[in-house]
Amino acid sequence: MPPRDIRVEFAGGVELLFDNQKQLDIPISKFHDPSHPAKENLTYTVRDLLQLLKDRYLKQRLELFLQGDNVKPGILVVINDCDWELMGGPDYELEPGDRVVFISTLHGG
Amino acid sequence: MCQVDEDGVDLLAAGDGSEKSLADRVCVKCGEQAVIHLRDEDVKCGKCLVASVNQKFRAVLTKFQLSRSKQTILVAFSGGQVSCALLEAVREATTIPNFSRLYSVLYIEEGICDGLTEEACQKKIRNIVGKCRYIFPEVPVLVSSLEMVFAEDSIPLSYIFPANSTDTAPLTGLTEFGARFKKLLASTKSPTAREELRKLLRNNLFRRIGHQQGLKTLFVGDCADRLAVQLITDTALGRGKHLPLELGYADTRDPDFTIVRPFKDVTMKEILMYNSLRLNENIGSHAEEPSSAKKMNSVYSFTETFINSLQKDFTQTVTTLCRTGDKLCATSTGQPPAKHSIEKSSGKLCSFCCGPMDTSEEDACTAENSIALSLRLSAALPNKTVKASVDLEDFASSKHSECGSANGDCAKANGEGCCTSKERKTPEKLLCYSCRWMLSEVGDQGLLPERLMQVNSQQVRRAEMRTSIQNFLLDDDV
Repeated sequence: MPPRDIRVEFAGGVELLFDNQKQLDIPISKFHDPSHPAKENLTYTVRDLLQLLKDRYLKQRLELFLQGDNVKPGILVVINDCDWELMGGPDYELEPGDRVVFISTLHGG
Repeated sequence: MCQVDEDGVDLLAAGDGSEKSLADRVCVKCGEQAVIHLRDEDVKCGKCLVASVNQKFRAVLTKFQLSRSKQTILVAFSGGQVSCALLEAVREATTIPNFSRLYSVLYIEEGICDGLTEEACQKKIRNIVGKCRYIFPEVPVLVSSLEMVFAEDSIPLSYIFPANSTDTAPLTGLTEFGARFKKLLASTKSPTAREELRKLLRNNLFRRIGHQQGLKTLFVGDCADRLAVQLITDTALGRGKHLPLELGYADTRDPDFTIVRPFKDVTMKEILMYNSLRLNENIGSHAEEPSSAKKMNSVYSFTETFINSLQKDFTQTVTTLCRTGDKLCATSTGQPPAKHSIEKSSGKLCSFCCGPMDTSEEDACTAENSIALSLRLSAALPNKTVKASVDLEDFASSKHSECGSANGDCAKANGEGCCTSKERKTPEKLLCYSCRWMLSEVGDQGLLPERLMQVNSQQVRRAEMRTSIQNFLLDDDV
């Protein structure tokens, strides 16, 4: 994985919403909004990542992944093997090389 | 009684301040960096989380004296997150000296309910066996499929031996029963009834396979979140009396086959973290998960969505529900298994789900009898003029039936049940309330497994015989 990328992984059934892709390497540059070049050097949060996933990668059933600008209840987010609630939740600032995993708790067994 | 948890209120009031302080938290046990936030002050590191889950599992083994069992224990495996965690906890326990190593995995293929072809089912089975091999290579795997519940005598199984070979004997008779099972599900009116029917047949199949293989214990992967949802769902469906069996550590309705829930106190979040630390976190994914739209319109799925939403903002939700469920268990358990077999012989267990009967005495002032009275009144009133008086005592007795005919004018006299009764073949008295409801939702009852109906018919005949010789029987108290 190139060091500037964020690795996003999907598990527990979430991958079905992203065309069965289990992982994505997203370069930081993808977060940039071309209509606002002044914002290029700002840090990006998990909230921005969710928006990016919704705009460019989510293939179906938005309501099963997102609720408003946050993940749907029942989806656990693990950042670098740590519960995101301990890292600041949606406001955690992503760094290059971070690994974000979305796991659905709804398809147990 | 509900009590406001003062700590919870303080945390809610703290708002953003509480989130920032979480990042600084360390494991409450060992002081290492925390990886999971469970609730309020409870944060744990990876090692302590794994140890806690394993310890909870072993505590249940010890509680039911299964740790040194000389009997093989069956482990139900569905391929999901909780099943994988359960199998890993089983494997971990077998590495400890003096803990039993006798386990077999049981997988029931249910692809037929989701419309999968035979090839897709076989592929799914191979994936599942692959997962079992990955987690616990030495365990034998037994495979059957849900439609085998229609088999009259023995249940065909496909055995996978623990040796290096992964060859599977092809499942026999899939097509023959498959078509019938599909028709049965298609004739069932509501998604809730279909789910309840699947659950009933699955448990029936578990029991039959257990009896056939001579095994007495089955571990199932029910976690705290699932049981919290089950509590509300069962109450809504009229299974209140079965709650101690459905939610407790052990389901002892069959004295020869006990279903144990080792992960009853483990939340889904702990399971997922456990899997990501011990196994590949993708282990619980299903390649052919059915569209969630199909799952959204049953009582269980609505309840699940509701509780998940509540849990997000109020992290005490699931634990409170589980504690409430435990209290329900405490008042009902303590009955020794021997009493159940006495009840069975006197027909006091539902002949479908083997749960305790929840029907009321005819004269008792209960909600069930009130509904029955209303039905009789509503059916008979169109036949009477407005000014005619209604003798409630007359209607309260069982002389009038649901169709409005008096004194058994309809087929009830022939012992077949009232002509409007949906349970023509199986009189209401031997099914619990929710099984009666589920049966009424099945369009063609002739499609139900014969063995299930035979058990019911046998109990009906026993009950009738008992009634006819009632005066000659000695009371148990004498």
